[in-house]
Amino acid sequence: MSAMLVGFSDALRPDVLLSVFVGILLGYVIGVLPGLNRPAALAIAIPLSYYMNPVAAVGFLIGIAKASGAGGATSAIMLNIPGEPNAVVTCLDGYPMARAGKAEKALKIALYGSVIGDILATIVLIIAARPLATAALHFGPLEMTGIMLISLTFIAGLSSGSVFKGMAAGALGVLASTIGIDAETATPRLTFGQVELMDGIPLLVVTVGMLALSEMFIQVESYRTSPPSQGVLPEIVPSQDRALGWKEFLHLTPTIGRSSAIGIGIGLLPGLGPTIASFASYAYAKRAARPGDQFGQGEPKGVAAAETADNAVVPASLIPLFALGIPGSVSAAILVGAFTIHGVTPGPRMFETHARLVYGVYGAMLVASIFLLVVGRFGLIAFAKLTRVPATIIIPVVIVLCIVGAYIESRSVFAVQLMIGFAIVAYVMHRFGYSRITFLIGFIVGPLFELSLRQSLILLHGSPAALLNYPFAIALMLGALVTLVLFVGWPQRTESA
Amino acid sequence: MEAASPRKNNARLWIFAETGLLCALGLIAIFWLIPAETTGGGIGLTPSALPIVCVATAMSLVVLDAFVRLLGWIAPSETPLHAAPALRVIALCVIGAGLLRFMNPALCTALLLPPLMLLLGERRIVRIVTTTAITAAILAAALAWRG
Repeated sequence: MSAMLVGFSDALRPDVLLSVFVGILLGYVIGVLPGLNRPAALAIAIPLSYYMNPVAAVGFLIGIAKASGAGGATSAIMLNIPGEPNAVVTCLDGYPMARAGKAEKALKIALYGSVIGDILATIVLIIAARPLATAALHFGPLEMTGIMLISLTFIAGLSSGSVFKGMAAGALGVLASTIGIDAETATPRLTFGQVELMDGIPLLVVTVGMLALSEMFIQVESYRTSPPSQGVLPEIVPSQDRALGWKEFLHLTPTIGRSSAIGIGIGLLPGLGPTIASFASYAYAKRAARPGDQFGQGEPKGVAAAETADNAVVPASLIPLFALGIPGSVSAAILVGAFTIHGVTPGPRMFETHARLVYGVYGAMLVASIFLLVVGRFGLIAFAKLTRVPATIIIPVVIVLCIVGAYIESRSVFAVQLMIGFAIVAYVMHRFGYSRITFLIGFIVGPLFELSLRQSLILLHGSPAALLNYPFAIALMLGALVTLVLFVGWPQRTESA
Repeated sequence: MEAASPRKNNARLWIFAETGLLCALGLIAIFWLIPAETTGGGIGLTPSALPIVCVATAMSLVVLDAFVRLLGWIAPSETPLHAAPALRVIALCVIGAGLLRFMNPALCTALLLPPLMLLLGERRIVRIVTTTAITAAILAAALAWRG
């Protein structure tokens, strides 16, 4: 109880409040700018978090994750350009609302839906993570190996067009994580004589290369082949229907409630992510439509459904991370980096060893929700105007920030070259349908996976028959196999985790 | 028997090329790179075991994916190749990383940003100069702050 109180009071320290506020502001700006998405924003922001204390650092990154989702709705509503894949659904009703002179109302609905979904999901995280972590403490290495296999299968199946390619990317991510000194024998492994690789590949290099820089290469390609049309920005018309009254808001609350539940449910499952949550929530809202609802033609419920579910996913996806140590989404994967940098390994033991930090993070998340509302409400019009910043400025600046920023951080040209190498690999992977997200999550869970595998093999004494003593582990591994088989016949999707 | 269309043949060729290349790289890794870059020993798992398992798994999955696509269970993705703009940007990034060896990062920014903006089609000099000056100033400040 005392850890909880001290943790929550940590979240109210001025430095933490400032970090969360800056994170929210930065996240909004990045979310609004077309071409920049949540993973890229988080990847670029990681080096900044190095200089903060753990609660401030995680609060800062969570602020970016939350606000970039809410900010993505702005370009979707104003320009019909989804700032992020998950904002595609927001375009369906948000843009028609803007064209009808209701842009400000659509932006308010998106904001309030985002904040409510976010707060509800944060409360579920606070309530559910600890009991789950307590249960997870009873898992042995075999069960943990099974959980990691099933999670990777889910992520692989849902984050790329082919489950086989997704899993292959995950295996390559684990391979990349094996580079460096082997923890058991203390001998170099796959370092090719490079002293810089003895400590392994820095997480910063992989995240910035795979998510931010490679995303810019992809954006360059799509921008140069089909530049967006200019002059489509509808003005916010002050005299028209811009207010969102209580009656109208109450009319939206059932949709917001259902969408929050969908977002939380989807966020709990590794790999599903905000895009699927937005689509599922929109589809459900459409099915529950009443006579007179005009989905696809400027229906406020459509905007509320998409945005609420999108923002509910971020806190919910932290439940598997806090309870099991497994990042269920790319945002959670990047947060692993932030925790690791500060000497904390996310997982069930965190509630015993760093309880104060966990509650501090919870507090920072709630503070971030309040800032999200305040910054979003007062900056509504200003953020909408940011959508005019052209890609010819955004893309080059982000590329330079990645390259020079990584150098300033590491003071190593080798690290910068490695980052560009990873960006090129990620670009090629994207072109051929291999998920960058699964690679990154494989890279992050790799060391834990190897440790669990090693311990499992020692426990089994080389006898596969001994596995029969671990029925839950067998069930998990069979679950991974069944998931794999089910995904084979389900071709689809873009990267969404 | 109906003849396959040129587009379908092209897609098959791509599948064979992709699978062949990845399998070749995988075999090189399993039989040469990993044994040369790892040692023996270890309890439960030798240091080379997991890398080999990862490469073998990735190879098997790539082959399985090729089979599934060749059998037509998954439609071939239609991603036209317009890689030239991205390749030019990648080349500039490599040059930029090389420049970091010889000069201050802020100066490197000033040299790297204008060609990147020009490459993306920006032709307004004022915009290029202003963006470069602001970005270089921010990075110089970050550098000074880091010491």
